[in-house]
Amino acid sequence: MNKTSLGTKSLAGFLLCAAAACSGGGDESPIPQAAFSVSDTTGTAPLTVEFTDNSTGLIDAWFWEFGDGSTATEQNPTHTFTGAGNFSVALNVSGPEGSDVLVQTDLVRITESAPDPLFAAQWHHENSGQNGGVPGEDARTPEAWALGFDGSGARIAIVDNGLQLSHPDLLGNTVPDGSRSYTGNGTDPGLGDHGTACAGVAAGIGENGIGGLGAAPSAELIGLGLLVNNTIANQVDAMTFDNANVVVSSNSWGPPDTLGVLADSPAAWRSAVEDGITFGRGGLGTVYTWAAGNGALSGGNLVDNSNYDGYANFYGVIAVAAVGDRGRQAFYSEDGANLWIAAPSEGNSGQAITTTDLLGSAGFNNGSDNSDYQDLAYTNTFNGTSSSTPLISGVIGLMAEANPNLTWSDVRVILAQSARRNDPGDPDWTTNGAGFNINHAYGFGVVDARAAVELAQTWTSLAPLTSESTATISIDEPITDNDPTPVTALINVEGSAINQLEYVHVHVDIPDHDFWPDLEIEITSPSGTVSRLASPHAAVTSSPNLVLPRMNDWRFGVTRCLGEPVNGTWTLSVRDLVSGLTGTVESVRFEFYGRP
Amino acid sequence: MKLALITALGLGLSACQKDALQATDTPSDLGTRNVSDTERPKELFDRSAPGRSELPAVPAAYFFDGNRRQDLYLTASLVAEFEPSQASVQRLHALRPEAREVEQTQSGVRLWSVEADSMEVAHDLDAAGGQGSFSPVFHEGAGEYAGRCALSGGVIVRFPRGTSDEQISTFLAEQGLNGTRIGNLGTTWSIEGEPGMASLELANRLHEMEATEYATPNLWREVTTR
Repeated sequence: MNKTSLGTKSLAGFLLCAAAACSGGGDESPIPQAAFSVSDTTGTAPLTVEFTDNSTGLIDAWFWEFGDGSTATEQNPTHTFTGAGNFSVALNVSGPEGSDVLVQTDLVRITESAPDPLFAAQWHHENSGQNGGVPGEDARTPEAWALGFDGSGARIAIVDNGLQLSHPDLLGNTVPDGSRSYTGNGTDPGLGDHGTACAGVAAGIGENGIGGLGAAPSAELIGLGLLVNNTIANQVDAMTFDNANVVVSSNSWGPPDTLGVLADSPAAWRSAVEDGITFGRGGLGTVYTWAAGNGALSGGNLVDNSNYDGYANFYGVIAVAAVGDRGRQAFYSEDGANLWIAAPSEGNSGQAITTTDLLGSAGFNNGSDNSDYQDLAYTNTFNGTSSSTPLISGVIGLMAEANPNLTWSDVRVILAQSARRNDPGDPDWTTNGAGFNINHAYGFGVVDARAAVELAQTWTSLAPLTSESTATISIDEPITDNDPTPVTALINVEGSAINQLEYVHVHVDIPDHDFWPDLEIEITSPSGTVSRLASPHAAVTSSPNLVLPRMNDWRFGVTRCLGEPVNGTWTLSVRDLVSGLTGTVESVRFEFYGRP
Repeated sequence: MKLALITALGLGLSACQKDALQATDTPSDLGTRNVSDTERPKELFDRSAPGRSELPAVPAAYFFDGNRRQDLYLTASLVAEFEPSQASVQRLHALRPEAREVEQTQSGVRLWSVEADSMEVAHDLDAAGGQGSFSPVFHEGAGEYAGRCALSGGVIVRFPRGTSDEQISTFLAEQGLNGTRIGNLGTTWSIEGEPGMASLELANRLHEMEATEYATPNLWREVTTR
């Protein structure tokens, strides 16, 4: 856009102005200098825009022209553009020392509201049975939109390998100069195919006549290009960047999948997430969504569990699993006692997700696949827990619009309470001591955007989360190799003030087992909820020596005790179900997060 | 039932202050499930691993991640290049003409395979000066599939919550260090430093000091999109 200053015109004589009506003062020049900012520059009609006067100097009159024939004389007016077009906005300010005019050409660009042509393919929003999907196995986002929420005002950070800010289906939602590069100090996060696809799932623009739309089609987007230079310092920065405004930090990344090994997060990352949930959004806390992982299977073997990932099993994040268009666990989506919720993505049928793609042939859709779109700005191949995660992020954007006072903890408890019990025939479903449906593949179930938003509207914030931790409890018991009889530790806890758990960290130390993937590890809460922390699985190793990173005081995450009390007997059960190698259960330690 | 363990427990409290919890006797018998023996799946053991190499049995170094000591295992033949540029590649090839780039996903760093001790190569490259900087590549644990990492330069220091910026600045000045707070939350600071082993040594020195909660080298780490 062009900025045109029409200069200052001195007026003879002077006028005294009331202090309340004058801008500027102090050591600034009394000569008026026009300046303003706007709340929005693009959208579909009708679009309401807030104009903020940033002029300096002594000013006693403002005259705004909005380019559509309308004018205003308030200092900070609000104007609704009702028709399509590009509108130049002018502000004329005047005072005793002169006047100034600022014209911003084509500042506001309005398009007619028009259906999104690819919406019909976005079964994750509304599954009507496209390509054999099961109707209703979706996120129910259109029902949330129908309540009047589109994510307006909610800012979503896509932490990924970049984000194409100029994409026409994202541009209007991106925050000008709000993004971050990690290969320099710029505000362009780079052309990341993966991040661009995630952004479209979370907050692709709606009703603009092109492409599809995101779960929160009017939310604000920023891109943080962490994954092109993933140092610990950059991780800390990305987790806390723009924390006053970021509602959701959407993270579809983690340690490499399908290895079957333990991979922890850095302590500095954990500190940063704790800072975000504690201080972000003025104390409400940033919400962190995290892809649970795609490494469940390889070659028909069970491999990864989300709890082997030290990012996805941290109490400060919401670990997101994937279900397909039939409402069942995607073959790659990892089990875990740390899972919070599931959301649609490509499942076993192969029907993936339609979203934004890098313009041209640089993205997932490079024109070589005839089953993908002719328009290379979109792809129908996005998948993984990577896609499920920004879908949850978008739903959180809707919730935040419905109730801007939700804390990060409110958000996830609402998600749990409103989740839909999918795949009802799955034998892993059970009910925990507080009445929540729980499943190692789905967490509390599949997201239900409408139910979540409705609950958010009337939600009364929960008491702040508190934490308690036990000392390290020595066990020092050898595990018999290839024996179904477990080493069992009973740990009795009394005196805890936490009667409603939200999350548990269970630190298990089995440092001398040469191949811990032989182990099954379970924890049973005082309410009788059994959580499977590890299962016998395949893992890549330094063959033939079977050298793996050891289970040294490994932290497992447990969501499944939500709402249960701490006090009572906790039971740790460890057994080695594969012959050849064994070790010793040295100790266990608990960290409890909850409220009275 | 192999073991019924009755464990005394006292809670160490963090976010809230409470009385220590009391231990009591507990029931001892828990049911067990009958699970037939399984065989360890073999398929993954022999998976090819391009760019990976045998690791020595003993760690080459260690650092602290939070309060946990973490061993680092040197990859014999990989070096990481930070702030990649044509000039630094030329410098690398002048020293190691056989160096070949190893594929990975992050454009902010390049990994090079060299037919020499990676610690010495990284040291020699940095000693020669010039644009870009190099670090040996490590694994954070025994086994070649423990995560790959490299020393990108500098140290991350977490100070106890409540430590003021002024106190931190004074501390850093006393140590002859320059640093900046990362973001506007918390007490995590980035301390300037050269890539390579010097940053690890500085991190370990700072970690032992009372003024810090923990200090860790600013590692580059391998991650993936999902």
